[in-house]
Amino acid sequence: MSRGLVGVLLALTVWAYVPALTGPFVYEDHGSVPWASGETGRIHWPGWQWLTPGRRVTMWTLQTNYDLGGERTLGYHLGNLAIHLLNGGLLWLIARRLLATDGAALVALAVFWLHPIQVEAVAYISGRTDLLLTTGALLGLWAIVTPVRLGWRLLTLAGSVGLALGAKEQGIVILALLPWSAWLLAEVVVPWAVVAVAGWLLLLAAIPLVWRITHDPYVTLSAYGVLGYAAHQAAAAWRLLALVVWPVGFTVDHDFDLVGPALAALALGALGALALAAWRVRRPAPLVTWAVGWALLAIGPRFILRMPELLNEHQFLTVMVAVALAGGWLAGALAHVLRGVSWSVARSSSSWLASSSGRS
Amino acid sequence: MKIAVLILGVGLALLTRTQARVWTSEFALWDQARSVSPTKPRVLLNLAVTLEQRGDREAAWALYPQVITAAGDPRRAAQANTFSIIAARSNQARLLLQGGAAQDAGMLLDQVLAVAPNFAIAHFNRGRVFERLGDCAAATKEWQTAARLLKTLEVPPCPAGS
Repeated sequence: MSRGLVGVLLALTVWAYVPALTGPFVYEDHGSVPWASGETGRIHWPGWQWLTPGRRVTMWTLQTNYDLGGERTLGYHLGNLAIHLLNGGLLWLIARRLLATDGAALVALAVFWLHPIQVEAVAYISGRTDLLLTTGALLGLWAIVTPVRLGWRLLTLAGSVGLALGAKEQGIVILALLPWSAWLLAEVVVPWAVVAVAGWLLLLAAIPLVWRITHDPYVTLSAYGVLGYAAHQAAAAWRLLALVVWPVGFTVDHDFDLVGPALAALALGALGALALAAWRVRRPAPLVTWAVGWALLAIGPRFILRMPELLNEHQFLTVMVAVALAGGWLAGALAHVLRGVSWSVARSSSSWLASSSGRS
Repeated sequence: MKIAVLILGVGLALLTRTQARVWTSEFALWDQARSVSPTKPRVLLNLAVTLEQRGDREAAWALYPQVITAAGDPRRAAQANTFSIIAARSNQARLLLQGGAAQDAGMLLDQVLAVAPNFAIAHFNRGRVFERLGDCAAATKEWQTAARLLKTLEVPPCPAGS
């Protein structure tokens, strides 16, 4: 039954994105694709380029699209859609581990595959960066919540980190997302020695990327001070979250600059309050704590590095992993309550809250 | 639960398909952006450029002054505001030149370059003004400056086709 519904959701996702498959290069695509086609900027495999910071994985995939179809956009769009479907598949596997029922996992999958806030990441060819970053994050999360041999787990984690770091600069968040997830959700205890070695290797891998990010002149162009910038980012985050709940008002270019300082400060305070509330329920509802932490960590650098752009929809894709799983959890809880109302006490307590231990 | 998932899936799919249609043209994208962010200079500027590309010069001409007005808002980053203004004025100059008003276009570009002397597009368009006025030496000099500032620009022959 669940497989059939997954198939239906898959078909609906493909159907929903069919109009975008014929879309041209738009907005910043014009900057991405000539780069992929230029001989001087080509990524070669194998090569030392892969060990230097930059969007190597993303550019390699765009370059492959160029080699296969030139500047015809269909291949680029199909590539984005295929990655989105793959990401949904990974999320489905994770949701089945973390959520108590298949119904809850299906809600999570429906939200992730089909929510219209995802359109910007999928239909926008330049959204490839966020799609691949999210693939890396989901792969790492899958390796954490799925019982596999330690060797395979570490290999998958290393691959997920490489994928995220090679997708875009923001991919550095995976170095926080994975330990956070392992702490709250992992079923298997990893020996401390392995954790220490892996941690040092990850930090070494991250140093060139941190240097690149902190020396980019683009991160110094904002009109706000440190606190003002964080407050406006918080307002942007709440607006995007509101779009998830009430999906009206999508745009490629939101106007968060006009949010007043008082409202922005309130947004930042509310974000802090949410984090605190999520922390307090970490024992009865670790998945809620994990989801809020994942969402905040996924956009964390954007609160610190003051780029001229505030958050936009395609940058919300990694956050949507947490939103979808939390949505599935909430739907499962609601279904449990509704069943309880109709069947009174005939059913004993099922495990809709058992988020960290997962499914048997 | 399964029926609820189906209803949720179909509802979201309809919304997603509607939004996916917006990504089928640059005009649809920026037209939607204007409906959500009606006073953002970059939105208005990109919409005006899209209108020009669609051949609707009158609508584009009417939009550029709105870009300049919107870019006067001090709540936005000064650098972004300045760019929006000089980009809008450069595009206005291009429209004037296309309409045959080379002198007026030249004056507008002089104003832009007084504010932003390294703005390559303005140098390139001023080269076109000089070309129209028959001064190929000055035109070539402007184009060379533009090509030095922006590597993707090339120096065209003057007069055209020579």
